[in-house]
Amino acid sequence: MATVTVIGLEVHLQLKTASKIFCGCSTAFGAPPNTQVCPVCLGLPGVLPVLNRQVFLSGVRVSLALGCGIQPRIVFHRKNYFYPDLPKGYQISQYDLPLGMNGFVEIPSGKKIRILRVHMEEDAGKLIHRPEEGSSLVDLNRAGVPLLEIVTEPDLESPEQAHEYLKTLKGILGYLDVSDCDMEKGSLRCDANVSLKEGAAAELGTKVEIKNLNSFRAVARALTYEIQRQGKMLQEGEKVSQETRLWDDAKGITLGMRGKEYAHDYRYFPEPDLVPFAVAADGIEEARASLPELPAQRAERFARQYGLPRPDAVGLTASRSTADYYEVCAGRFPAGKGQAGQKAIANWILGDLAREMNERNLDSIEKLKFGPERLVELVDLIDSGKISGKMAKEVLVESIQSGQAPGAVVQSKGLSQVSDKEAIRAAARAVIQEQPKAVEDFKQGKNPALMFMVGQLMKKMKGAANPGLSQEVLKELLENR
Amino acid sequence: MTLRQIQELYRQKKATPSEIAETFLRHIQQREPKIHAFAWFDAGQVREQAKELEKAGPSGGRPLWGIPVLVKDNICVRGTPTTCASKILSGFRPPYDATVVERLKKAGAILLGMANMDEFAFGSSCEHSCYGPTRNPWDVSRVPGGSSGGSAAAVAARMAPAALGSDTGGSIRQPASFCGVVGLKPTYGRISRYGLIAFASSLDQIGPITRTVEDAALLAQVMAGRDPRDSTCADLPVPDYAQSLQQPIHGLRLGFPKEYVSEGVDPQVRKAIEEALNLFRKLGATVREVSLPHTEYAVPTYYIVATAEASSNLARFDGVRFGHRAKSGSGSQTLQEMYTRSREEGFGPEAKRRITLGTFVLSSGYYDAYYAQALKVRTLIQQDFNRAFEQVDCLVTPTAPTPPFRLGEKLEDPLTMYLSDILTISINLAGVPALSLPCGFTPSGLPVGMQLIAKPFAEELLFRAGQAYQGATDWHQREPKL
Amino acid sequence: MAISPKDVETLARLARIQLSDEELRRFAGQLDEILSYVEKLKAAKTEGIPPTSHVLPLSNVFREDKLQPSLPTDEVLANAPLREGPFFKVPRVIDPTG
Repeated sequence: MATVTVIGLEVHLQLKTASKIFCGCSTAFGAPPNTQVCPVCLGLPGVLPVLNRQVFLSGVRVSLALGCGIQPRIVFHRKNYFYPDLPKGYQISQYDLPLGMNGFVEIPSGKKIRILRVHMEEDAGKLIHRPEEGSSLVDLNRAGVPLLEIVTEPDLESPEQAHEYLKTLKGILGYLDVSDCDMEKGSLRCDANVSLKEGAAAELGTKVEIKNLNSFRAVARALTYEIQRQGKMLQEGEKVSQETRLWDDAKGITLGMRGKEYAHDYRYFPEPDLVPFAVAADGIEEARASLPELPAQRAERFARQYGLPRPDAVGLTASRSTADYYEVCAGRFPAGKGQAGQKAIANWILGDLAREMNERNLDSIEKLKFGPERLVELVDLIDSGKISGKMAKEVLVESIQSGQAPGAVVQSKGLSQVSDKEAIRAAARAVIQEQPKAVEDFKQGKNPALMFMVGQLMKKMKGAANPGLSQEVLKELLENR
Repeated sequence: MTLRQIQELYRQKKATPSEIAETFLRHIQQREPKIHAFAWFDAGQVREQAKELEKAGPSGGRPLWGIPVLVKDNICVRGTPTTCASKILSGFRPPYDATVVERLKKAGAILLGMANMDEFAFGSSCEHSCYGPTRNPWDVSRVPGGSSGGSAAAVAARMAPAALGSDTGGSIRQPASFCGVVGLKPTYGRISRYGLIAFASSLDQIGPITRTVEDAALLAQVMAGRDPRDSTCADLPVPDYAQSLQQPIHGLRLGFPKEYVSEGVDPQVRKAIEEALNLFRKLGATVREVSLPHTEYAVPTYYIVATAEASSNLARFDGVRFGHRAKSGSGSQTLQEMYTRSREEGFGPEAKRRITLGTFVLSSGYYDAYYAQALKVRTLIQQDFNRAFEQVDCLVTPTAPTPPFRLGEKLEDPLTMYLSDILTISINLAGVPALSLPCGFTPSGLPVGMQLIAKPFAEELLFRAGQAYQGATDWHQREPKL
Repeated sequence: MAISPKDVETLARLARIQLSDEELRRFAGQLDEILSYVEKLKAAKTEGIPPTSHVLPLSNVFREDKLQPSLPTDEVLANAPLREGPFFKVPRVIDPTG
């Protein structure tokens, strides 16, 4: 019987509010150590938390965007444990009365991944370990930064699906503009739970939690490794132990953690320093109405409105900035151009622009610094015959690299296609003179000969001749002989 | 001198803040060696504050101008050692003022120093302090009560005209009763807790300890009201308490909960309460019996809820960012060793006991049987009070079941100590306000206190009834022989 | 006997308090007595009674998402038992839990 993989993901999202979740300190990334700390986030005796309204609102919007129901009574709990980056000796989080529950995310391959819960909590500070010196240093700037925790049901079936889910989730969150969603900067963190079971109907196996995942790729790689590891153990009759393992990206393996001295018993109880929260029904509807058009709906509209095939529509709407970019371009086409032009723009974005972004490791289209008006300019240059489609690809790369607009690039490099009929006719006559065999072949109905002569003409004009026009002129001359 | 009297002296320009300060400094010098009410005191700073105030002069917006107030050692005063009478906070100087301290300063008060207390407010006798016990000014072989023992003793001994205390299970009212002074525990959420070093977050309140009801009302007026830094501080307007003091109590409906006599109350205490009730009748109030049927569950409920919250609140004392950190001794110590040794060295036995008990009732496997159950019983207790206040305006009870006991008498058995809180504890669980005021003395001269209880945010009724009583008696004017 | 010295030892570890053997024994006895007393709570009729974790009927208390001044770093570290530059310093953390 085939083993079935069962994966659940827990994502922690840092919200980009101006101030922390329970106090007015800044949440800005990269400040000098312990410069964004006040008595509250320092956990001094006597201080009290007060909830940042924007955190609550963002949490509601995220919950609704993920299809969750907003709970009627929302309560914070204390999660008690000792760690130097946890000033109060407890984290204010949520336990059994979270903000949102029972939503779903649909991933491109069509599967619905159920969202179990969305809740609010505070982030901990940062530790710098110096093992050689036997000490660690504590920086509390990050303590109190607001987090949303998004937990899926164990619905994911493979590392690929997990990767898809994370990209889709990031897309949705990007639309709401509530977080930078940057795994490298730590504003989006992911822990994975994976277990294997014997066949779809079997009981769930022992799950292993994987931490220290710093990119979407790492998530997929770690899951792949861990599935193999567990699979092998089960084959050899070994039992998988329930534990937390750390992903070592350099070595490409998961490592069990050294036996913990103290087991955790978090002793959750309702946070007495914070009151309960609730959102009235009309408040929920208002929040829902204020949501932007989300990726799934936008893809549907793109397919309809711009006549795009569904995969294109989904690809363009995965990220809000790309979708916005597309709509600016598509809107610049006069009514006549219609669907053909809009398909062309889609191709450019999904093809060449995407490639350029990947090569430069950019995660959003603005970072390419090739604005929508430049893409429109490029397409116009092709349509007006000034350059060939092939040339345009080079112009694009040059434009991005140099920062010059496409038109300027064409000018400065003298790349204008020659569309001067007389010049082409002259060259065409020369070709006909020089290639008698080809002319004969053409007369005998062998069309490849025509293309051959077009090639020769292009060579003569150093590739700058408009190919369509060249072909036309040649044919005209040949037929009129 | 009461606050009222000092204010009058200032109004008539018959005294200056420096002169008033000197009076109290003199008393402190004479009496403190015997009473030991202070955890921290600096005469120079007191004099400086008085001089600053004189330079600025009085103003209408500063009702406490030149009034010395003693602050309990668990209320943060910026730059001043605030230690909760615990070794684990030795040397801790907060970089901020508690909200009530800010309001006192803004009102022109002079901070007289920090008052001794039971460590972290864990206690009913002021014997669990790292600075040693405070003594009852009426009989120095006896306790002043706790945990605000220093505050109450200082006011009784005329070392301070007023003091701040905190009350989680009776810690303002019981010492007020033992020391023959007035103590108010306001409604939960009436006065901000920001800056009060927490014991049990859902029970704690700061309140005034004074000689008269009038003075308590004055301090409450200055401190009460919304604080954006405390989510549990109610955004409700503060009535003019001075106004309510004037109103007569004819027709006021008083209730006496029958369960409060059957809890082992000393006959001397019972007698004083009966006489007080008779006086209330003479003043025009009606008295009837009511019932608070879940009173027998109050102490166990309290000790579960309060210790659970305390065990969590005290987790921040870990030696990392402030307070005591154990020295590594020979070689280095691991992180876990640093935690456990710092806390072992820093906490006294009562603190350790409560932390352990609190950890237990929250731990997995026991949460439902103890903590969850206690929260439900708390609802029942609150409902008892709601029902009683449908029938009467104020409840009248003794504050403590006995007169002040001797030092060391209850130290051996913590359970006995906990049981002495029976009359005050339910009030914190229900979140209602209560006022303790002196209502008599035993034949051997020990104070007896009476507790008035009202429904949430009805402090005016307490002040009204208390003022009427003090207008017809002079218990509050007696002075201990020192 | 609801609580043994071994139980107290586990609890003490959870609460990061180090107790001597003598304290373990004394506490176990005292806590046991307290717990026996507290057992009487079980007799209270609480079916259908909601728990009270907040005694005031307050809800939805917020602060606006505005910056407030933080403490100067020196004040943040003023009470630190041990510091190194702008950091708090602690013995090395061995258990790398997230």
